[in-house]
Amino acid sequence: MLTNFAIQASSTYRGLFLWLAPSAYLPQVLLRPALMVVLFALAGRYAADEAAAQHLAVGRIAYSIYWVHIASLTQSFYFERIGGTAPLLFASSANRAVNFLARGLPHYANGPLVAASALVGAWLVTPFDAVAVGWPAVVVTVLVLSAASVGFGLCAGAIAFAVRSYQSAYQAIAGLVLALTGSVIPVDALPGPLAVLATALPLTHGVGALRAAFEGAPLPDIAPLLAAELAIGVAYGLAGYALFRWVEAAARRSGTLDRAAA
Amino acid sequence: MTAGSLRALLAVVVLQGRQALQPGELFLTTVTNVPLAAMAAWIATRSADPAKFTHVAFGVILLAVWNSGLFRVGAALEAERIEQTLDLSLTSRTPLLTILLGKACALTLPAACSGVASFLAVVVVGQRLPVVEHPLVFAASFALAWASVLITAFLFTPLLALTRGGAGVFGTVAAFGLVFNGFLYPASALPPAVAWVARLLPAPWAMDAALAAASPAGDPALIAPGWLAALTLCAAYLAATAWLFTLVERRLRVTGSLAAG
Repeated sequence: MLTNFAIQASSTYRGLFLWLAPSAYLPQVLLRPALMVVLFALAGRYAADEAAAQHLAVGRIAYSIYWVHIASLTQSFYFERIGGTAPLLFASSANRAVNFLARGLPHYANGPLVAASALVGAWLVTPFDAVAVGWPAVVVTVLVLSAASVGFGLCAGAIAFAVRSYQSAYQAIAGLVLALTGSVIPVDALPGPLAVLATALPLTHGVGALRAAFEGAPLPDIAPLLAAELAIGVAYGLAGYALFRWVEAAARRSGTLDRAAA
Repeated sequence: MTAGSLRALLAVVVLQGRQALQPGELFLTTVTNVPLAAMAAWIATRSADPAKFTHVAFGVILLAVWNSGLFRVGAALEAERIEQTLDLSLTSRTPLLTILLGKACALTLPAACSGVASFLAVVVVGQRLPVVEHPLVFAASFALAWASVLITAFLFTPLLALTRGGAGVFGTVAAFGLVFNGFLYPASALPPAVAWVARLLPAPWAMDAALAAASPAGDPALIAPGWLAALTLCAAYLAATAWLFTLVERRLRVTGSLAAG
C-alpha cells in the first residue's frame, strides 16, 4: 500500500506539476512570492505607514502558502484531464482515495518553502523586530497552514478537473481567497454576508494565527485558530474528493473520457 | 513599413481581435485582475491623500494591461509554435515582428476591458472617484504610460523564446513588473538600493508625469523630463525587440527548428 502510494505520489508530482523544472520552480516558488510580498508591503507603506506595510506583508506570507498549492494542484488535476491520462486512471482498479491523497502530499513541502521566500521578501522591505516574534508559533502556523492548504488545493484541483480549465479555476479560487480571508482586507471590514462567508473559507483563521504569532503570541493562544484552520482544510479536502468521484461517475455515465470534449 | 506589411499587420489585428473577443476569453481577461485591484483600492483608502488614491485608481488599469499584455502578447510566439502556425508565418514574406506586432495591437482591447473592470473595482471599493487636476496633460501622460507597459511586455515575446522561458516564468516576470513599474506607488517609494531598476523601465517615468498632472500639488517640472525619458526608453525597447526578433527568426531558419530554440 505504502509503495503504491509513493509511486502514485511521485509519478503525479513529476508528471503533472509543470513548475517542477528548475527554470520554472526557482522563479515561481522562490522568487515570485518574495516579489509579491514586496509589492504589498510597499503599497501599504506608501498609502499608510510601516505598521500597515508589516500587516500586509504577514497577510501576504500566509496567502502565498495557499497560492502555491492552489496553482500547483489546479494545474496538476487539469493536465491529468487534458493530457489524456484520466481515462487510464478511471479504467484502473486503483484506490481512488489513495490516488487523490497521493496527488496532494508531495506538494506539501512547497508551502513552508514559499513562506520562507516570502518572509525574506518581507524582511528586506520592512524589517520587523525578530526578538518580539514568537518563532516557534510562526513555524507551527506555517506547517499547519501548509497542511490545510494542501487540503484546499486538492478541492481546487478537483474543481479544475470538473470545469476543465486551469486558468479559470485558478484565477477564480485564488482571487476569492485573496479577497475574502483577511489577508489584505480585515474580515470585519467586509459587508455582512461576505464576513460570514469568510469564516467558512480557508486562510481566514490561519492568517489571524500568523499575525498573532508575529506579534509574539505563544502557541497555546493561537491553537484554537490553528485547529479551526486545519479542520476547514480537511473539510475542503473531503469535499474535493467527493467532487473528484462525482466527475468520474459523470464521465462514465456520459462517456466523456476523452481529452477535452465538453 | 511597406504597404504590404501594413496590410498584413491589419489582417493580423482583425484575426487576433476576433479570437481575443470571444465571450469566454474576454470575460476571463476582464475579471482576472479585479481581486488584486480591489485589494489595492482598499490599501489606498488607508491614505487621506486623494493623490494616492488617484495613483492607484489609474495604476490598476496599467497593472491589468501589464498582466494581460505580458501573458498574451509575451506568449504570442509560443502560442504560434504550439498551434503550428509558426512555420506558415515564417514561410510568408511578412516579417515575424509585423505579425506579432499585429497580435499585440489586437490584444489592446481585451487589456482595456480588464483595465476598465479594475478601475471600476477601485472606485467601488474606495467609494470615491479619482481627482485629476490637468486632464489633457494627464491623458497624454497616461496614454504614454499605457504604451510603455505594452512595449515593455512586447520585449518579452522574443526574449522568452530565446531564453527558453517555459511554464512559470511569465508569473515571475509579471510580479517583477508589478513591483518596479510603479502601478501602486511611485518609483521613488522603492528602497534606494533597487529604485534604479524602475528607472530602466519607461512606465515609471510616464506615471510620474501623469501623477504630476493629476495632483494639484504635483510638480509640473516633472512632466517634460518624464515624457522624454519614457519616450527614449520606449524607442530603445522597440529597437531591442526588433533586434531580438531578427535573432529568433535567424535561429529558427538556421537550426530548422520550429521550437524557437
